[in-house]
Amino acid sequence: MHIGMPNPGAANLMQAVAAYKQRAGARLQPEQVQEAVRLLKEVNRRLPGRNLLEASRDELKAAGTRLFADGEPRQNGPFLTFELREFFDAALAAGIVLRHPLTGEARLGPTPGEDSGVTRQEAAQRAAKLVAGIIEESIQKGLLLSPLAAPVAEAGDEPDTFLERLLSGLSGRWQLLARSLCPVLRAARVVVPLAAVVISLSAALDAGNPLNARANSAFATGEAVRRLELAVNLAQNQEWDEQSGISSLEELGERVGLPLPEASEVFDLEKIVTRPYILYLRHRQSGTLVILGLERRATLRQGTWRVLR
Amino acid sequence: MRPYRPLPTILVVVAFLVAGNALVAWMQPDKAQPATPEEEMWLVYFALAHAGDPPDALDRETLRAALGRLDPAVEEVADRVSVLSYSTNQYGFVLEARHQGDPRPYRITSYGLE
Repeated sequence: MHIGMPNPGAANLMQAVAAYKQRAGARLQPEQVQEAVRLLKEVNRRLPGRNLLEASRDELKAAGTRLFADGEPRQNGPFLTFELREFFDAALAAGIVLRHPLTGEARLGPTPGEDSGVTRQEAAQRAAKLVAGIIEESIQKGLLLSPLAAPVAEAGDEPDTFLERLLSGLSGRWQLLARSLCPVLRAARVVVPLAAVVISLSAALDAGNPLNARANSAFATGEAVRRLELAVNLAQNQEWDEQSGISSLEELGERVGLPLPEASEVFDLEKIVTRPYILYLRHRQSGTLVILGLERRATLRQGTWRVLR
Repeated sequence: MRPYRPLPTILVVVAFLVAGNALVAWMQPDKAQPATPEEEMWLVYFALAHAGDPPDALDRETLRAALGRLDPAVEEVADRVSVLSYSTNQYGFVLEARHQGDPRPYRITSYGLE
């Protein structure tokens, strides 16, 4: 669903142009109106669907860019931008489009006093489709990254009685909310990808801390810690004297009957204490000292000491 | 029935990863949070256990040296620990000590804090 989806009952391009001409005639000279209509037609010719009413903001921008690339004088740019906005204002006011593709302003039903012949249920269905379209558009532009949004958008064209019922009662508030959230959504467009990058970097940098291994994405370290803890438990059940002389994790794995190839890649064994059994390990990636006891796991990294029970 | 569009699904997966990362980052222990007295006493335990054979006597300097063998940056922990009594036996050692941030005495043996 495009932003400027026409009202199925009444919308067409000619009606919109007529509404625009009438509106523009009050403030422009006739030749200026003709010039504006010419520019609108030129933009319309360059749209993929050749219909202004079905174009998205990006499609309109692309069409405008192509128009000036084709030789239209650049000084007409501000005039075209303003009149394009006026055109959609007029179309929106006449109920020909449900949402202004340039400003995001939405119109969910007939204006007060206007008899559109639309039933409450039809209005609710349109509102449901409109909101689904807004959500889908937001997702596609990276404005909205809610896990709920996509299923709602996917279901947008399907009959959804719950959504219809909800919107039939709240449509006015939704419209107000959509308007008031415009600056927030614009900010989110920048903030969300930035936050994703920062959080990913933070998680990647923190992946070197073995104490957090279970929770973060450093799967290899987490798996190594898990197996080493198992090895400590197994070693506790063996005679302590059997553990003397162990100098590597491979050797430890052989003694307790638990291969530790992952651990050997991630940790260096610094020391084994056998009464009770404690492993002192050096995490290669971060240089952290990791201590694994029977009931305690602890790390020491640049003077920062943490104990995990 | 509308045609299937992969983009929303991809975005949901990306959103899940971002939200998951944020959740994990939120769940991480506070890096600026200093160790508690009890945690520092565990550090004392692991430092003494690291020596293997327990020292015959334990004073502040011996403790400082034991801590320094783990990491020179934690030697200062010895300044916050007062040794009340220390002895060795056939099972290892028994240390009674007090941390300046906690009035209660700690009993540390070869098996940990009691």
